[in-house]
Amino acid sequence: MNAPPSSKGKLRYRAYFWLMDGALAASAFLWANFFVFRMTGLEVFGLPEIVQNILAIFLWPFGVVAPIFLLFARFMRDEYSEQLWRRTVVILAYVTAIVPLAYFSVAWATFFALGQPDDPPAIFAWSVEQVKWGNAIWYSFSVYVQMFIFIFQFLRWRDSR
Amino acid sequence: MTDASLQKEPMRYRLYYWLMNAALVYEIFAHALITGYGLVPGDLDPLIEGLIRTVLVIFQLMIVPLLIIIPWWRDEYADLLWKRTMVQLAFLMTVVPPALLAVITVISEIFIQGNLSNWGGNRPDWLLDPLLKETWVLNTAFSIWVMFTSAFVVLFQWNRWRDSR
Repeated sequence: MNAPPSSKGKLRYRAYFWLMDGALAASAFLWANFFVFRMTGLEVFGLPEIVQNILAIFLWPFGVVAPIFLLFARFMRDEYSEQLWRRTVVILAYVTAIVPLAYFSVAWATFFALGQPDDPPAIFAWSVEQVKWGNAIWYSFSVYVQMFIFIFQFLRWRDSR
Repeated sequence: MTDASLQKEPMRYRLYYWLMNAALVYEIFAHALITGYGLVPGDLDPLIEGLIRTVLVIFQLMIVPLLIIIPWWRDEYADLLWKRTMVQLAFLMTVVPPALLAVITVISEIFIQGNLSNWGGNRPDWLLDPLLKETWVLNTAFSIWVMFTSAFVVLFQWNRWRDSR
């Protein structure tokens, strides 16, 4: 990912992009881990425990704390990243409004048309699993802030080409 | 909220504000129903119940999402309000869940599992009940999405009201 020209400014402006890259790496790892776990049942790619512990030290601050911080840290954004941030929030708003609705519509339409199957296909199977409310809030929140990172980095990557 | 200046605008712009107001009324009505009855009172005439359910579905699944999604429905001012609202919503979505969970965790760790005392048999275990309740993933996702859309409508109208004063 080529750094855009504006990142030659003050240290805190550059640090914003460094943190962004760290957050992207951590978020991408967490999502990859989630999908691999769901599909194969392999936990943390079957890595040895010592590696898992070292990774956890990195994943927690970068995957969850950094996105919250980056969403707020106005003082660390120069003009370019502030503009990127605004575009990201708009796209995030559309995504948050549309994607769940689309999923519900497809799921309900399928259940309505076919009846609710005892053993639904994988894409619907997880939606009828049981989950604790506390965990559900935590997952939604993590997905939201990590989507912020993904969209921001995607826009930045597209600008840099 | 004065709509006098909007009279000469195209129909769809006026319709946007009009439906926004209707959506606010819907949110208050729906959340009152959810708080009071779970969703719909049980002892209603089937016709009235069907009518209420239809209104709920039309607003929650069609009108409110369309108010958020369609860009050409908003005039310049509504677009500005929309953007401000979404920035506020992004902050809220980022702060409220971890703050909520942090408070609950502190309560849980210190007061409930910390065994400071037995509370004279009145230990507030029920504080954690809502979070430990299990339900479908689809159900939680839908509820959280409903809260997001409701917060949009309420915040949008709040910003508009503050501007108009």
